[in-house]
Amino acid sequence: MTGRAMQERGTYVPLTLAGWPGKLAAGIVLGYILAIGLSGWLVWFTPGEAVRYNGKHQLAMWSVALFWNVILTTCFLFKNARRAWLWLGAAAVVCHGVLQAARLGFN
Amino acid sequence: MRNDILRVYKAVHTWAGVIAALFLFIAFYAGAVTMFEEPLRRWSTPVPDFPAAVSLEDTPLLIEKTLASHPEAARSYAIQFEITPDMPARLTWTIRDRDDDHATPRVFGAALNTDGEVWVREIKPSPVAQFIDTLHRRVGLPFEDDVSMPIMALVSMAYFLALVSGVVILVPTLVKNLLLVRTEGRAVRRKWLDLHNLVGFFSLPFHLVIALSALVFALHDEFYDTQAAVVHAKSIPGAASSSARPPAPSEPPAIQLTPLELRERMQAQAPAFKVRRIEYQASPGGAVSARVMGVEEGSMMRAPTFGIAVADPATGRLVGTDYMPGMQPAGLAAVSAFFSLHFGNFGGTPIRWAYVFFGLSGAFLFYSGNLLWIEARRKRLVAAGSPVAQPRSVRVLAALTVGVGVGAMAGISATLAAAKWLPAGVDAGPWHAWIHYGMQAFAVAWAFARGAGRAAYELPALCAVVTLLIPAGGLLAAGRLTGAVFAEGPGVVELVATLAAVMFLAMARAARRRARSGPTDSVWSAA
Repeated sequence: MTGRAMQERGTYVPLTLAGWPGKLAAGIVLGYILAIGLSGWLVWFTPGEAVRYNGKHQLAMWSVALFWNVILTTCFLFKNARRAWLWLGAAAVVCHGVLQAARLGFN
Repeated sequence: MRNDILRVYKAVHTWAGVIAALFLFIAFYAGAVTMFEEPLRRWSTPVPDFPAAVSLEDTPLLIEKTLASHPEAARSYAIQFEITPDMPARLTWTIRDRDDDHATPRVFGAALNTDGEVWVREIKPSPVAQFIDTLHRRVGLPFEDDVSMPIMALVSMAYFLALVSGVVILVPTLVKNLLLVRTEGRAVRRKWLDLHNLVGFFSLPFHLVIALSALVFALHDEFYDTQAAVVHAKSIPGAASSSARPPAPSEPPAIQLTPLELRERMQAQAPAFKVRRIEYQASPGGAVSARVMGVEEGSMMRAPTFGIAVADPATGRLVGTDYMPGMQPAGLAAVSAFFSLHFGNFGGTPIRWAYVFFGLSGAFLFYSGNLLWIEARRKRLVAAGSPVAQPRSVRVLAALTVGVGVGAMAGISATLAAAKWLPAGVDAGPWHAWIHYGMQAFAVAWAFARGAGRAAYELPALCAVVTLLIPAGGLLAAGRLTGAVFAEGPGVVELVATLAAVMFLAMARAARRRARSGPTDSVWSAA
């Protein structure tokens, strides 16, 4: 659906940079928490075992930088800062919930 | 793509870019220089007062005598297969200050004098190559790692953000405009924009690797710590990798291979791996392990200039190949690929020169980005004759861009040249720091005092003169006026520095022409 079509139906509010400090903060803080959680999914839900400083252990650490950076590039797409915190926060809660369940289950 | 999203990403690109650009300019220019860190260290180190290195055949005798007279070396010592001015001894060991992590470790070397007695001296390679490397890692900041690294992490994230947002805003016009460089007409800004987009787009994979690895280099300890707390199993298996702690034999080996024999056994197992150095480490129980540093031409290596194998010193059998080029398990090979793609060590000298070019093109990307920021905020002439004052923000960023950018290049040239100008015997470390940061501070002050328009040609001219001190210092050192004797006469370093000086002069000429005869309603005008 194009922006113009949405606008005609009265639901379309153009994205602006307004609220960027809050969006950026969500991207940095929650982005880090979510990135750590996602790296945990790599550790527990892909084949192989993370042994200290083996390939999987190191790649999981590197993945934090990738996830964090990618999340950061999306944080300005939220309509406002509150939504950024809510959505990224919810994603982090779900991600870490699943991770901790798996982690305790496997232990 | 929706126009409102494009506008948001355009703003993100502008501000993330302008925040990171000056740090990145220094990091990339210094990084380009560090592609040849080892040759620069050899070039900048005076020939030390050392007897000829002991032959490899006599090395077992050297080890035996040295460990008897210097037991502190027994815990960990190294045998060098390449003898250079900065590493002139066959046998070396390193003493670290346990109370001070920041203190530079002291390296000692042993030789045998003509009477066959052990002769030990501290080895002091010129610190200038290391200084430039550190400058690169700290994005030009004069602070210790505990302050510089968090800033470097933020800079690398802003850099990643600028890369992605830059691609997003380029996509809609990508196919139509990518190879178009508009050089005609009055809109000089178009030319800079087209070049900025062209260079940025075609070096994008390089930049993504650098941005990602820089963040990891800055924060890997923090990432590991967080993951240890909340991600990994509570007791993560494996106390250490085979490289960090090879399987210890239960008793000290009765017979240890000589370094020459060990190298031969290594070559039999891995013919392409060229041994540069062997580090022997003794555990408190007396078990000895051997870490073998070497190069495999054309392979990706974990460290900037070598890969690492672990061998059994009694049999020469390879027992650890986690960081050995071509022999790594898949996961570690993937990790080493990131290191190697950052260090540019996977194709010998040609790839190193390619990385110099990439580094300089990166510096151009950040410099041109700032120019575009300035041009977008330029106040234009409304009526002929009435002078136009440029906004304060424009004047400040223009002065900063010229002062920081050209100042960093001049500082690096000056401190490199100083390696040959400083009198023999001085503690060169602080000198190199003061010379670089002094030049950097002077250039920034000059740019603000004179205005960006004038500084844009005066500082490159100064940079050219300072850079010419490098070949001049080479000639001076060849004439031995500083009291220090260098192994090589003027050579590649002097030649490259001379070419660089010519390029700085060309920049100065172009900027002066712009300042004197270009449009006057610009921060670059000095008319």
